[in-house]
Amino acid sequence: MTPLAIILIIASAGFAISTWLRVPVIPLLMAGGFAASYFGFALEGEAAGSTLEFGLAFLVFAAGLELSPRRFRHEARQVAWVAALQFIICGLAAFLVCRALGFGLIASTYMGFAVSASSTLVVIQHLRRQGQMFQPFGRLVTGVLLLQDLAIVIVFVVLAAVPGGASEVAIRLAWFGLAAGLAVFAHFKIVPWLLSKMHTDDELLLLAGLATLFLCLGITSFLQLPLVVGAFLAGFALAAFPVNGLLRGLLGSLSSFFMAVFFTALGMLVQIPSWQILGQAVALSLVIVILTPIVVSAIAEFTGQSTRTGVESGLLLTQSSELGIVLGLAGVQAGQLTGNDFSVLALVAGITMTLTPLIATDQMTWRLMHWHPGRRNRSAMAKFSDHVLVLGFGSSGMWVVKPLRDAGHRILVVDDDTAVIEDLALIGIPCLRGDGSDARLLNFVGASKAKLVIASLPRLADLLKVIRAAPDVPVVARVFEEYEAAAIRRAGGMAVLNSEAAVGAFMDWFNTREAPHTTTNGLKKTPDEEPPAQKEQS
Amino acid sequence: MNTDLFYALGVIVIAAAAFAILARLIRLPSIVAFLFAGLLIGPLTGWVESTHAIELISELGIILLLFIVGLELSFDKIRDVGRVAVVAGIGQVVFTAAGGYLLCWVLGFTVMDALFLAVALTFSSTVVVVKVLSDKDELDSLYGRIAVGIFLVQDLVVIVVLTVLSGLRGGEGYDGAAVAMGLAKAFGGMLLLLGGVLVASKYLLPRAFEWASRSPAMVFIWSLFWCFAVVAVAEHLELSIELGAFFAGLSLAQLPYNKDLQHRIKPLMNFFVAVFFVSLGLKMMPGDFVSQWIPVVTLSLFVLLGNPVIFMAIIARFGYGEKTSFLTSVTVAQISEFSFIFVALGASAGLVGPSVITITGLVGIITIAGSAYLILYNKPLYEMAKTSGILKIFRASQKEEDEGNAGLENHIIVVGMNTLGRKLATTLHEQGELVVAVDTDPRKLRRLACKTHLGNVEFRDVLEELGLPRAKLLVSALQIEEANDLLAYRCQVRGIPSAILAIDLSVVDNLLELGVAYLMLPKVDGVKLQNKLLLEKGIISE
Repeated sequence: MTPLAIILIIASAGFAISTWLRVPVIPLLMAGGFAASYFGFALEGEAAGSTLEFGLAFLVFAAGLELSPRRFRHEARQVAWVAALQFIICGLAAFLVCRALGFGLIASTYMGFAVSASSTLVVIQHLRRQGQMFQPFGRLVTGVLLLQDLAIVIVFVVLAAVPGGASEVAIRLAWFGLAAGLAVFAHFKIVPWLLSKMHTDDELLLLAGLATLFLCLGITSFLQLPLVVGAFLAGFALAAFPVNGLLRGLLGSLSSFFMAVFFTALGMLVQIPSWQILGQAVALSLVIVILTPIVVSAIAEFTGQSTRTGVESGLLLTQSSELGIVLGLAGVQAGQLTGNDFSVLALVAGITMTLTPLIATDQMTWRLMHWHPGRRNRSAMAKFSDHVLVLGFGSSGMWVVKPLRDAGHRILVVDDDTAVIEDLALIGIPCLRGDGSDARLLNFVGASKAKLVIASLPRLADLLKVIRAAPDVPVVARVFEEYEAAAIRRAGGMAVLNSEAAVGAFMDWFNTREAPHTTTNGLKKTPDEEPPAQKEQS
Repeated sequence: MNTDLFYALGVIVIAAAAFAILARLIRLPSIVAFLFAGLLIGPLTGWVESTHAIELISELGIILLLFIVGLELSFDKIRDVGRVAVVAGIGQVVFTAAGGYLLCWVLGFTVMDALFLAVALTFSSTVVVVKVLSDKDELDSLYGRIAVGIFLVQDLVVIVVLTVLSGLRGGEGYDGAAVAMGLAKAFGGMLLLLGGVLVASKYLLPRAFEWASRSPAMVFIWSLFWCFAVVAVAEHLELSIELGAFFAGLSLAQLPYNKDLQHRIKPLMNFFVAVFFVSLGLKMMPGDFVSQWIPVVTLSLFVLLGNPVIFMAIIARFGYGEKTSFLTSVTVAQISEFSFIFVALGASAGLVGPSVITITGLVGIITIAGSAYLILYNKPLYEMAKTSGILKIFRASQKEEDEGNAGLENHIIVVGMNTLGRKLATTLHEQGELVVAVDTDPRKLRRLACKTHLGNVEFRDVLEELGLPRAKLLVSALQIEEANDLLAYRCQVRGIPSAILAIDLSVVDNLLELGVAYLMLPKVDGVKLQNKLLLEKGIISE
């Protein structure tokens, strides 16, 4: 048990440092594994192989489990565009840089694919930590990541078959298609049917989930497909709600355990880098750090997302994927990559993952937004005054705007959602697309000359910026948490606590219990009162 | 790919799942299903053989099982167990061991084989009984609480027996001095280890885990590290790894996170334990099945009938009613997974032959299966026994204790202690409702006047502990779409009304499909409140 205890002490330290410094845990686990190996402790032979394979199977299985089409059905088009173009453009750029650095054709291909996708584990952890999973860019990037994981899985199939020639690649892809078809059938038909027929407890559900994993591993092994394919397809087969939700809690601890063991063991395989390896790793990291935000924000904006959503998505995706490291490992096992090549990939992952929390910040977002070409021409003098400025329309903006209009106020709405702005323009409400916390924009729309500012922005820091930009104007800000309300009041604004309002409405419902049917808390309005976002929903 | 290990583990897991599904149809405990699965894929078909790697994985299962048993053993529970548990637990061990030894001696076993078999017959399975009672939702009944108390006392006896066995394993054969030395070393090591973990549990672990509690994943990994570190120390002291794992669990059981930890570790344990039980089935010898049928049947009948009789006689002396005494006694009519571990350790030390493993395995299958049915149908059985008049010999009191559920009823569960959750829990509590507030972060549960529960609602067991089936409403203030969907689904399946926070309009359709009774939309309610404010200031009109 001593090796496991040593791996777990490294993992414990890794998690502690990760929480303390708010950096991703994966590079820390790998660094811990590397240090242990440097000081003479390393898993060897069968133990190392089994540990890595089991860890990999569980990690990829857990990733596949999240690939529910239901999750990002509202953003499917944007997700597909961003995922595909980022994967192709960044992969191609990395390939060319690798060729320029002197890597061979096969090694450059591996490297290109390995750094073309971003890290699901790092990004999801970052989003959860920041409470941003359900912000527009959070939804976009989770969809992008899951599609990229799928792409990497296909790359595994292709690269493993390359030595056998084009016909072998075609055969393997056909087998992959067959296995994927079975997984899709299981996802939509078999699993929901089984769940409706059986009353399972946690133990049985976990065993059934793991049995599915091993069954898929068996099928893909029979079809001579890589291990990750079976694990990923097993996850996808079980990714339909509610099975994925029921399994997520059960697999959470297994995933944490295997993630800790896997990345620590992986770190033990990394060789001591030479200056040349370090240089190559830094060059590839620069490709990711420079190119990804530009490519992703441009594509996201092109497909209708706001500038801010695009920039935030781009910054958050600025790292290489854990699956990329695994691809490198597969390359080493297939004899197509050297130990040094693998070390380069591991270092790139370590560097870019560690940089993620430093890059994906509000300050960096603002800096990039200020450099955005489309935003520089808003330097004209403010031409609005004595108006009511509504910052952030969202899904409930019509309830804000209608009574103000009825009372005869001049209104200007600012929102960063293209669809909302288009709908408002159609019904003749003055509006402007942009970020409500952008100081230049606030100047442009005359925030300091307004008679009232009503702000509904997701971040407290943005709301405080608005209050500072309009010091002599009453600013009403809607927030969720009590500490946010306190900060708004301290800054001189008027806070409306959404959660307090929700409690009042809930208690009304709870005490009266008048409605025996489902109520949506006042959402059911007549069509002419329905705000644009709700029309979209319906 | 390490094909052999993947193949073996794959077949084990698939067989375990298939047999567990079949077992569920005939309401058989999963442990029995795993043993049968092992029999099928091992001795009967030869598909899988037990290898060193499988043994290692099984060992992880044992460690985690003992770790969880330790985690369950808080000092409060030890106090609740009381006199009845101590007397009945130890009394049953003594009487069953004596009766079992006598029976084995009559059946012609050697002294050592008879001794091991007799001790193996004394342990009842905490895991089996807790699982069946939990499935029946009777874990909190009076007889359920007494039974769990007795099992916890027996778990302590198990630890003592394992310590003795450690001494015997360390000693050389039957050389008295060497065995005494081995025992002294084992007890010395045990006391050292116990002292160390108790000191850690008082001075080191509370502060460390308080800091770690900001991340559930970190608490989980730290607890695993602590478990395997103590196990490594136990190995170093030449103690059993089981003992190390149990002490590690015991030291964490006093922390407020012990329940949450149990839920997080349980899936990991379930996986490894399933492999352990299937691998136990792999080791059984079909050739012995026929030759050993007489001791197997005799010892099984002794456990199924003798153990409840011994218990009934002891518990009735404590003044409990006839029905409670009967229901409690029925729960102990099986041997335990520790029985298998115990004889396996004896075999690995060369103290007993392989036939003892086979007999124990078969007695285990028969008694675990038999007792599961006895517990499931305990009330009709009691009526039959009462009508026949055989219970009169125990002279138990005829009073009817309140055996109703001691848990929550007609309460409101509020999940997620952000500002909304805390305000909801406080307002409902002040209005006189019975409220249980739930969160994964202990800091968020502080200073709440209502009942609180630390745990992750994604685990089914947590919702069971919260008494979801008996709740009148579940309210979720969580800002996590997946968790809210899952809560809505679980409420829908159980027919419990739910009020769920809709983070934004994109999740409304899903939640409506899941039959949510009330959707909380703070953004909409916030606008209404804002309009009220603007109205008061004369900015807008009615």
